[in-house]
Amino acid sequence: MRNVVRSEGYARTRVGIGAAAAVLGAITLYRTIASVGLKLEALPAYVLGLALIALGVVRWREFRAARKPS
Amino acid sequence: MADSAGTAQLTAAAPATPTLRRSVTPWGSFSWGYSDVGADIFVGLGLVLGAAAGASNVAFLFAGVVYVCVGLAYTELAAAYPVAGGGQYFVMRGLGDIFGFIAGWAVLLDFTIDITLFAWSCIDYLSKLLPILAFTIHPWTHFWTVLLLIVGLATLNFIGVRESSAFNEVVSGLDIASETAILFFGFVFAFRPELLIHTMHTSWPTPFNLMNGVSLAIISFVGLESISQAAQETQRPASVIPRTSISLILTILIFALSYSNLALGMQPAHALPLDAHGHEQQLWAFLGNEDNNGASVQVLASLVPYYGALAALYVPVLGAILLLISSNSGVFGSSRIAYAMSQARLLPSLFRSVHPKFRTPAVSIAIFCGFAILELIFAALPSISPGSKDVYARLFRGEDGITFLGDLYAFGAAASYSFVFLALISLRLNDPAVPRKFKMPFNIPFTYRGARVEFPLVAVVGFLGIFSILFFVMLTHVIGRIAGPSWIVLGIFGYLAYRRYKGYPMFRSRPHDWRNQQTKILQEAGELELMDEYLSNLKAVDEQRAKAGSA
Repeated sequence: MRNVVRSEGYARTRVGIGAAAAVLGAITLYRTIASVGLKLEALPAYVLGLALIALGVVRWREFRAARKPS
Repeated sequence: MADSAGTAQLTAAAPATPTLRRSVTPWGSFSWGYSDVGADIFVGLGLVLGAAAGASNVAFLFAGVVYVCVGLAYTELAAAYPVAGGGQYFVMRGLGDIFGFIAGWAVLLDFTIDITLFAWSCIDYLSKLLPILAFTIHPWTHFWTVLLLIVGLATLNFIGVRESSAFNEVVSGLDIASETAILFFGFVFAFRPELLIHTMHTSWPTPFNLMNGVSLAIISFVGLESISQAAQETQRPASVIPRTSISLILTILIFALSYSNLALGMQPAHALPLDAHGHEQQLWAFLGNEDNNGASVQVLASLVPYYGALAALYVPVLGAILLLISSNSGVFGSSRIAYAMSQARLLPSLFRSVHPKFRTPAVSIAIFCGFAILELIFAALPSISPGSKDVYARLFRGEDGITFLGDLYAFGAAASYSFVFLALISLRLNDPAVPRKFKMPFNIPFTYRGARVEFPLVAVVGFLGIFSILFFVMLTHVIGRIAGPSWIVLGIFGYLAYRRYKGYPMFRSRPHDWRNQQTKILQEAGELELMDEYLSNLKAVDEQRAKAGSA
């Protein structure tokens, strides 16, 4: 397990899932705004979309930081 | 290079008395946190849907915002003070011994509840596959199985953290993949934003029920304490803790918001059964009813298009394993807090005895698992002994079983987190020399007693949020109102008696050499660069304060 989580493949998988999360966040935001517009009641859905995008960004930044030569 | 040299020196100078070993890796640290917090949604979702109905996502959002503030506070504090005490240690350093004890005692309540609540829910999930374990049909079988689980976990922890940490790591990874798949299929193929808005409009709860829902929603976010608990056993904690915590905070927030939004706005793949009166029911009501609220994640997953059929088969097992791990985190956490509290002379020396072979706090494990078993008996009593049902109905409005455990869980969390925010503010002002590799955002810099400090605005927001949740718990839960404060008051009496017996100050703090202690903490953690930074910061702060004093 420890060897797996230290491998390049694991890092790529994490960034891949992060990218998928960001896409899902963008879809959630788009569909919510397209169908109900900007309404206060839809705030939890907007926050969810933004959080998914943020997760993707965090994963991408972690991946880039890990690949930077020290 | 400096690290390995430092580590070598530390190894050479290993103390003769047994101490906790640093065996938790970054992924292990994340897993400890995830296995504790991640399992909460399996218990919390159904309870919140049952209470907050069409505003369940708002309840989760409110509790989630507070949770983010709590998470950021723990991240900053655990990275700066990587010791096993967690919240209790931060409060003791920031506010003094007696408040440190109260915060630690509240966390101990939470961890003992954690052991029982999640072992209980674990069996609830398993009962979806093995009906003989169903609490409502076979309460005695359910009771004995939960009891056996608790005893088994106590034994596992007695043997050592490394074994259980590896177990956590595998299951956490599987669960994250599973939950991501469920939510992906749910949002892409079945989520209808217009249905979400419609449900919120038509099923908005009363203010009392919304407050009840918010107080239960915080249950879904309890457990970040685990990361700071593991801090003393994590390699390079100042670097690892912020990284794992931020990922953990985001992951948990996303899962909680996703499930609650899906429950309100998802078009189920199959028609739902009619309710008891023969009427059609909405998804949130179906998930929050008595039959399903104990295993709502499994029921929701089974209704997701395409993936639901597969999810229905494995989610009860995966959920049960994750809940079991969360229960295990309770054993781990309670024994480590008691160990740290005993080291700080807040609890008797009995709690800091470490097993010479396994190097685990064996006595603490036995005592707090004993408390967990008592709580189990109290929660299960009305079911296994029908005679006591009337007593519960009279004293606790009939709250028993999982509701009893949930109430106390919410009380302990809200009480201890309130103190942690106050401690964070106090430490920012009074201990500015400690290097903080991670700081909560939005700070106001100013000069305090001659030194430059930063006032954390997010801590104020977090305190107001968690204090309001504590108020909601006291207002809406009978058990939380009676048993929670009783636990704290009894603990304070015990604390005062112990301090008096030992000749320590009862209400004031014992003299602590925090500077030396902090240097030692950073050295033992292998954070040698931070230790140097701390020493030079101390010099600068002393000079600034001396200058301000002479002026």
